[in-house]
Amino acid sequence: MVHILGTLLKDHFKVKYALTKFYGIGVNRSNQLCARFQIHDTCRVKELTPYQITAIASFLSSPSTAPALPQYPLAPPTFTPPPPNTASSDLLAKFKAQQANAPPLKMKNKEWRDPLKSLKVESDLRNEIRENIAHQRMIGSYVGRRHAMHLPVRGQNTQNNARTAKKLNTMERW
Amino acid sequence: MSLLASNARHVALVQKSLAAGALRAASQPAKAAPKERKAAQSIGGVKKGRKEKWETKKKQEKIHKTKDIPRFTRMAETKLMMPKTFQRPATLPEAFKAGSGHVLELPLFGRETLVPRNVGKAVSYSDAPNNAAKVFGLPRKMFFEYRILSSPCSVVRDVTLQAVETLEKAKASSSLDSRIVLHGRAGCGKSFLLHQAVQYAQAEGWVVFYVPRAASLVNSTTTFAYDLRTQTYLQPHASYRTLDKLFKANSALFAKLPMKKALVTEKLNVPAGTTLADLVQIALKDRSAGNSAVVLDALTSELQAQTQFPVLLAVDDFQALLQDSSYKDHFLRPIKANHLSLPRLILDFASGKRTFAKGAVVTALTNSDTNFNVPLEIQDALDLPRAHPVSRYQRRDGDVQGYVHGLTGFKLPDRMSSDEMAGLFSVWKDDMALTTDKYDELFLSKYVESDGNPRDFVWKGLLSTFST
Repeated sequence: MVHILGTLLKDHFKVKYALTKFYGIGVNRSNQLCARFQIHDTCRVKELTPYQITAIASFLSSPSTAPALPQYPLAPPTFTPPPPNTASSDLLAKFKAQQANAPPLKMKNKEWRDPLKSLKVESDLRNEIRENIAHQRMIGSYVGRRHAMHLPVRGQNTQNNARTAKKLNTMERW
Repeated sequence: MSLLASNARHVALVQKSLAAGALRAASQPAKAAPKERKAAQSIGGVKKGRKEKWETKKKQEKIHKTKDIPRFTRMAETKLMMPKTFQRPATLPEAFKAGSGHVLELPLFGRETLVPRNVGKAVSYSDAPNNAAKVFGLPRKMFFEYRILSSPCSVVRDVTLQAVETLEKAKASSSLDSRIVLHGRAGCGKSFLLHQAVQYAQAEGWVVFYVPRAASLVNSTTTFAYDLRTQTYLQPHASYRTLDKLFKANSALFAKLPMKKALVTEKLNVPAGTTLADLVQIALKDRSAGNSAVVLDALTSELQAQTQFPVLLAVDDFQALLQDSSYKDHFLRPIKANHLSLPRLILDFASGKRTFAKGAVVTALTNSDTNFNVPLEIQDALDLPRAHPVSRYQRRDGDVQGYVHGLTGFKLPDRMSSDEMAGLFSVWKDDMALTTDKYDELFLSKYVESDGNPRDFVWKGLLSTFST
């Protein structure tokens, strides 16, 4: 059992499905997160290392301020690795020097944009939704009025069947 | 087991059931024919004013029904024991009863049994705890088959003897000269032949490194982590399990092989002269598998250099290592199999970049895995038959082309010969798996229906037939 940002993730769940328990993360975002933290498809929550859990928690607390992703060099078939006693600090220094000079990653001739940079979860997302509704009301739009009246917003019929709207469409949603 | 002996057993069983059946017929009273009853039906509803009449009619029906319900009494013990038909016994043959200890009695697989006069005869494998099949596992479909059979066995074929001959030649030469890929139609026996080669090598005292399901290395089911030194993604837990299996299968041989070079890393310091068995134990002590990849690499380097024992690297599902894996990098791009540590290790040996001083690399393709199809590069290299025409302009990966260059293809025949098929038939017949005693008719019909394909013959022929 792991608690991240107030959400409980049960041990026996696969991580890629457990992450969907966060408000604001669905299956696609979950796959992107697992790829970011090098979590394989069948990894269960109980198999996560403390380092990975901390990394996920710190990322989700503020996705926009996360560090840029490194572009790892991949060995061609003729590559001979240095001996096992090479100091990792030397390798890291060489890698950082390489990264500093590396051009930004391009995919299909366009610069790659991190889809998780604009990710919002839990309270941040709820606040954003509330702000959006408040903005609609403030400018006096139709959408704002419908929210205030607890009625459907998107042009649905109200003769019958507006129950969900009557229950959930409020100004203080979330 | 001869046809005659099993026939005699079957005849005895039928005679026993016939006697029991006669006893049952005598004890059964004559049954009266059941009365015909018309159920009350109202199609299209009941007319106005006739509802009460309809309801009284239904009530009468109910009374009739309650009278028809028989009183259930316990069946006589003698009746319960009786078989239900005269012609075929419904009682379980003794061989299937719990604790009967029925096991196929077949000669053991080895140098003495792998001779031309035994082609078409079945041989069984040893039950030793270090048996490669027990330690490394088996391909899925072979595993299912061995779960049904009372003891694991297979038929000696012409190709088995060819494989044995090839291994004998490869024993004294570098693995660079013996890099073989078994290919052929789906179900023609590639995995079985590879397994036979592994069993032979183990029986002859080779060091055996068997990977029965290479697809499990690339289907994103184990941990992976990027390593700056090797510039590949290490697979710590897969490496740990591989080390464990290598040790269990080859512990006696590893105990006799000392390390020629010391292994020094930031966390380990293993001096030269340590036996490979001790090296593996050092890695296995760390349950977090932190050192496993480095130790596996060192172990294979030592096996490369030593000349005391020939080494067999046998890989099934080889085509899974020649394309994109199911793992994804940070940017959600698929990671190529040759950038993962274990597949890369296998590919280095298969391509000849690394070689065993004495030994062979034998791999087998799988045509039945839809997740990992046979890629174009190896189709070109081995000139495999194609279902559809392929354009020269279709993209081929240069790295993969490099890895498959120099591989020797060994095509298994599409059809088993009638002698070999008869041997396969005898295995299932002697293991009491057949539902009929008309053996000749069953054998010939299924042989023709399956077009000599061993898998179809067993699974779609013998085990799926409704004939009695």
